[in-house]
Amino acid sequence: MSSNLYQDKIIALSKDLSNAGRLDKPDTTATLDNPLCGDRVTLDIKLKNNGISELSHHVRGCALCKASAALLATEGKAKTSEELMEMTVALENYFKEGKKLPEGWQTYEVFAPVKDHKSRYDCVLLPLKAAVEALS
Amino acid sequence: MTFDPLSLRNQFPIFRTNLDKPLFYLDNAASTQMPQTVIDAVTEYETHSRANVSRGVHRLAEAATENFEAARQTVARYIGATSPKEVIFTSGTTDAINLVAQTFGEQLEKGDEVVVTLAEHHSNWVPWYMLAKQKGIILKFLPVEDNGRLDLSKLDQVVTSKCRLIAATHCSNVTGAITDVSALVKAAKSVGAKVLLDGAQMVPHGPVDVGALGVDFYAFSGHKMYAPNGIGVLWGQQSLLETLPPYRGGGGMIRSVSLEGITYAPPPERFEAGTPPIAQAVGLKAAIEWIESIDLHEATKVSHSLMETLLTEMEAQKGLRIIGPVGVNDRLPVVSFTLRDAHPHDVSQILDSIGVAVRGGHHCAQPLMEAYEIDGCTRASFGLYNDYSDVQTLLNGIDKVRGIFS
Ligand SMILES: Cc1ncc(COP(=O)(O)O)c(C=O)c1O
Repeated sequence: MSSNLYQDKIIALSKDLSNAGRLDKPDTTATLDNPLCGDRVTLDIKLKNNGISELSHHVRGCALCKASAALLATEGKAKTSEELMEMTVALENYFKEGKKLPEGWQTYEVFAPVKDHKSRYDCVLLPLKAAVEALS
Repeated sequence: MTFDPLSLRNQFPIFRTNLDKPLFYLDNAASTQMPQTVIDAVTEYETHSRANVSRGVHRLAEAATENFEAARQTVARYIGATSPKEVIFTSGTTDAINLVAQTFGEQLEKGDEVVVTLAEHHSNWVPWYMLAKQKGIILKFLPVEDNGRLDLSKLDQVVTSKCRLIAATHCSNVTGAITDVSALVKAAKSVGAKVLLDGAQMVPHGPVDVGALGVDFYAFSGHKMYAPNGIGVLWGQQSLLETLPPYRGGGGMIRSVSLEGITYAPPPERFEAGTPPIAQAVGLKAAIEWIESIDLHEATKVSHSLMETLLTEMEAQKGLRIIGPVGVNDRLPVVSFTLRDAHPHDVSQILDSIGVAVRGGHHCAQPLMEAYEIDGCTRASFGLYNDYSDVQTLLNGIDKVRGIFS
């Protein structure tokens, strides 16, 4: 059932605004759209030693996209551009083929119910893709 | 004639097949379902009469041509065209509007103005935007009122003596508001401009009369009116069509081709290059005949009553905003809304979990979303087979959404 998608953990994440908004003087910024549904994610990122030290998100989109951005703000800490790229591909394969998530990203298993909803993969992937773009 | 949505629903195999739960189909503004009689007409044609049109003398080619031209006549009757020659088959509304943009639009000059409204589907916006970029034409925008209707009080300001065309929707695919066409026609005629109506949402709800409307072009799609997809119609006034250059080049749209040059066929063939969608035209004919067999007066009473129930329930809900007019007058059964705490995609997904098919998002009407300062909305749109169970299940679903997001 689709409503399984909306488990308490995902809803709670989607309402977690602790890192929502814009950063003062970010080192890098990216805005990414999903043209299919009109969702839009803007990320501001501060860097330290090649990795993310601070990330804020501004999401115009659904609960899945918001939850994914909120999770990235905490789980993305210290991650490098390569690691984010690897995770983006891995998360897609996790949804599509049930493959394992890389070391250090296990909290994304909260999105396991999304596996059954192809049209929603991009909702979760969009913030990660925006981070990859910001760091590239 | 009597009208009973349930008996109509039984004519649609989709409601019986392949579904693990009952289907409450409220996405009719995107595509309607097809009744068995339309499916049968297409199968019958493909089984017994399949061939290419207008090019062969063998039996099947003749049968295919006959079928195709019969469809043109049926369309002409349904929309009140004076002649089937005014009916151009396209692949859909989008294609029909692009046809006008590239033929009628080809004759416009730098500085000429085209008026579109903020209620347009992207298919009646982007072709004009592209034309404006290509030819230095100026686009003017007729705003909308808060209640979902076009702000006709601004017509005087946007329609100037340089206006060559007003391109407007006959009914919004978001708000369901039916356009006061006479006001547009009057404004256009006063400056010698033409009027194109996007009838994609309007024609599924019954015949229109293009002559009485007084417009110059009328576009619509088969798949929103119980017919297959891949077919649509552009109607244009014959005298106007005759003055237009061809759209695409290819077979079927010429009278002769030689090294010296090309003579183009008269309308409608001039605008129908290549093999047309023949089976789809047969399906469109069957769909029109099916719509005509229904007591639409009674059907409208039913859809108004369903819409009224839904709107009344919605108006009483806190945090729910209806994007569209108040009441059911001059409106089609298309009801869009936002919920304060839930994004339209989440709303649609949760509704899907109880079998309700609606659409969430910008509905290819981003300028309208911007005008109403929303990212998107959820839309429930009714067809002839919907009944009270659809409304009730939708309302139950909205309760469920609130439960999850509150
Ligand atoms: C008002 C309106 N115009 C145009 C279109 C485009 O129709 P099609 O995609 O069939 O070309 C639609 C369909 O979504 C519509 O609702």
